[in-house]
This record gives sequence, C-alpha cells and structure tokens, in this order.
Amino acid sequence: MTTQSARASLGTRAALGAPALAVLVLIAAALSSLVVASVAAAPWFAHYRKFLGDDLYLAYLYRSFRVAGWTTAVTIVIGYAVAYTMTRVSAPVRRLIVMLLVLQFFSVSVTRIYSIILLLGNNGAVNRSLLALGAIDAPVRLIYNELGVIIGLVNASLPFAVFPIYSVLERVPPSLREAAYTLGARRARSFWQVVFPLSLPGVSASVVIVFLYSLGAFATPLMLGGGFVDLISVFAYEQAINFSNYGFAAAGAIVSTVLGLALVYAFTALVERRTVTA
Amino acid sequence: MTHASPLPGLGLTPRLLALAGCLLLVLPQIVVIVTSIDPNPAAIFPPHDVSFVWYLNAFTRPAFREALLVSVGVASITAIVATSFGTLAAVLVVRHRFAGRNALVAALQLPVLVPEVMLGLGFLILFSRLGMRASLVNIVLAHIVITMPFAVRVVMANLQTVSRSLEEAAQVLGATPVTSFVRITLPVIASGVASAFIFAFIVSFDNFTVTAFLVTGRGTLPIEIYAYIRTESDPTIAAISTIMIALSVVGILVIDRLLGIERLSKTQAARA
Repeated sequence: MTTQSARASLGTRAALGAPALAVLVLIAAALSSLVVASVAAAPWFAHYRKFLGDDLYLAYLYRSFRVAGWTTAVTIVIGYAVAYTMTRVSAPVRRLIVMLLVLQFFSVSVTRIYSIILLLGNNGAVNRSLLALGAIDAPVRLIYNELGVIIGLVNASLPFAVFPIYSVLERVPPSLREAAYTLGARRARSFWQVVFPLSLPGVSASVVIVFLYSLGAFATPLMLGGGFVDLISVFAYEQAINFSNYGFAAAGAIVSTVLGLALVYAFTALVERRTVTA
Repeated sequence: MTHASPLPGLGLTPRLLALAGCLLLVLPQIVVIVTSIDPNPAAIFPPHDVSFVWYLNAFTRPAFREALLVSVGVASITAIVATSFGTLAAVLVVRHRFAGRNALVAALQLPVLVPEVMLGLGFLILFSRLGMRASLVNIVLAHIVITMPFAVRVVMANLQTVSRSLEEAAQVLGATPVTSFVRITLPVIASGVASAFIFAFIVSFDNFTVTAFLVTGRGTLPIEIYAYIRTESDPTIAAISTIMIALSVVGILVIDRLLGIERLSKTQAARA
C-alpha cells in the first residue's frame, strides 16, 4: 500500500478525484443557494420570523416531528423484530427476507405508495374483505389521515431500520446468550440484559436514518395524507412551486432540518454516554 | 448455528412483530399484482377482457410511453456519469492514502444524508439563479448528485475485497497508472461497476421528490404516474406497478449474481 501511494503522482489522484469533486461542488452550490435565498430578505431573518411567528406554519413543523417520531418508534420495534428473527432462521428464509427488503428499497416510490392505497383505501382490499366478512358496516378510514402517512412511512423505512440492526445483531455471538441462558437467565432476561445492550449501536443508527428520512419525506404525505397531513416538505414544495416563494420555502425546510439534526445529535450523544457507562 | 443451541425458540411477541413487518412488505405488492389482472368494479369492459386492458392502456397512452422514454434516457445518462465518476473516486479512496481521505469519504456520502426536499429546492434555486431554464439537463445534473453516493459505496465495497497485488505487479513491471487502471483494476472490479450502474439507474429511475421540483412539461415516469393517480381511478397504474416490480426483481437478481445481495446489504447498512 505504501509502494503504490509513493508511486502514485499527485496527477493520478487529481484525475481520480476531480470528477467526484465537481459533483460535490454542485451540491455545495445547491445547498448554499438554498441558505442564501432564505436570508435574502429585509431584515435578513424576515422569512424565519414569518415562519416561526405564525401558528399556521408552525403546525407543519409540529406535525412533521410528531409523524416522524411515531414512524421511528413503530419502524424500530418492527424492524428490530425482523432483524432479530433473521438471526434465528435458516439461511434460505433469511435470504428471502433480505430480498424482500431490497425489493422494497428498489421499488419506485410512487407505485409503492399506490399499492398501499389499493390495500388500505376506503375501497381497498382490507376494507372490502372486512366488509365482506361482516366485521365492519362501513369502510374504516386507514389512509388520508396521519395513520395512513405513518403506515406508508413505516413501509418505506423498514429496510433502513432492519439492515443496521441486523448487521450488529449478527455479530453478537450466540454463545453469550447461551451462557446467560444456561446460567439460569430466562429468555426475556437473557435478551434484554445480554443481546439488547450489545445491539444499541445498530438501533441508534437506525433511529437516526429513519427519523431524518421520515422528517423529510415528501411523496408519502403528499399521496397518503390526502391534503390533511401536509408535512414540512409539502409546505416547502407548495411555497416554491405554487407561489414562487423560494426564500420562505427554504427557511421552513432549513428550520425543520436543523431542528431534526439537533434532536438526532442529542439522541446519539445520549445513547453513546449510556453505552460507555454501561 | 450448526451445533444444537440450548436457546429456546423465538417468543410470541417478536414472531408476531416480524410477521407484521413481512406482511407490510408483501401485502401491498400482492394486492397491486392481483388488481392489475383482476376484474374491477369500476371496469367498463366485461370481466374476461379486463385482465389485459390495464396493461394495454398503460402501453398505448402516449403520456406514459413518452415518460418512459424520458425516464430511461435520464436514468441511463445519470447512471453512466455517476458510475464512472463514482468508480474513479472509489479507487482514489480505497487504493490511495492521503490527507483528508476520511473527510472525502464522508463528503461523498453527504447527498444521501441531506433531505431530498432540501436538494430539490436547492437545485431549483441554483438553476434559476444561473438562468438555466427547467430542462432534462437540470434533472440529470441533480440525479447525478443523488445517485453518485450509491455508486461510490458499491464500487468501494467491491474494491475492498479485491487484492491489490495484481495492480502492484503491473506497476512494478512498468505499466503507467492509466494502463494499470484500464487493463487490471477495471476488469477486476467489473462486477462492482456493473452493480453500481444498476443501482444508480434504479435510484434515478425511481426518484420523485427532487424531480418534482425541477420538472416542467415533459415529466419522468414517476411524475406522470403521480399525475395519473390524482386524476384517474382505474387500475392502469397497477399494471405499470407490476411491470416495475418485475423489472426491480430482475435488477436485484442480476446484482445478486454479480456481487451477492446479502453482502451488499451489509455494506449499505454500514454507511450509517
């Protein structure tokens, strides 16, 4: 490795890195014009003041964090169960689950959301089956409300939750739990006291990814919210596209992202401290 | 576990939760496939015709045909550029040691971490400030930014498993860096590069959010599908969805043959 790096001229490295750097410059330019637009007002904080000073706009923020919070909680619990099951089943079953998750990740988002409408809509498969069985008299409203958006986001973010948790769980030697179990710890205890603490880094990574993903989600609230669950990204889209109000749209998106990052940072710091002291 | 484990089987709660997770993944796909070929109450045609009519409608509507061409074009150009740029960058960070290497690795993954709405809005503002009118060029530029992290990841994962001794041998024997890259490195990581291309193609083909900010007039397929769902209620989209699912399955199986999906999913998880 040292021979090669010694031989490689600066020119080689520049040639390898320059195209990717150009792309990084492009994203830096996009993000900085976003920030510049948000403060291009008089006074410079006018867009932020307007956003933070109006309950109408704050409602988008509050709703986004509530939906992202619920989505994260549900996704992590289900995702953990799937990841844990994957460590305890035969290789072919595990492979099948991996394939399903990857297929989910690769699905065209718009058609994936459409399939949820077909499943859970008023005229969807679930409601029609329940009606036919006589379990309900009128269709249950499962989408076009917050529940629908959360179901859609859980569906979309399951792969993000399962893979980081699985990759950590897989490295926990079964012998550790077996030892605890043989020494008399019950199933639940041997899990919560031995396996779970060791899997915390994976859980923490999943929380970060799922939370940030659902906080910024756009297509899901747009299509499953039915206009009742407009999250911050829908706000930004409408301000920018319908009203050409770029600066205001940018301010809203920045406030939400910065708050989200701060929350995620506080969360990971907390988890890290707990893991260190444990 | 090959030896008999003294551990008891899974408890009821984890089993039920895992089952719920798998159903949440599978049920929508099954419903969409059944809907695409099944008689529908809203159908005008007699049931025996219905099974094909949504596919026929999907193929004969000019809007979908044109959108498909746009999407394939955008995704192809995006994937070619993102894969070549990403491959070079992956070789740089895996095969070379230099100051700022870790920072570069992190920066290359940055676009994945930025919410797509921020990217879409940022590009919209940037392009309008530069006086670039809405066009497919803008969409391709934005898609390259979104897809490159995936290409970099996949090629990096592939490179890390391949011994560098061949490349070193070539250089010791006097090959120039370019010759050794083209004649040795590229053939060795060909499966990684091909997988990166498929990855980038699918991510670009699928993209809705960033594209929605940049599109006017001729939309990509996801944009047209969304517009159709908003105005029509027939299951034409179910037919399109079924075709998409089939194509995704093919793409995944190809990547599986090239690199192994289970290994790759772990490296994707490792980006966290």
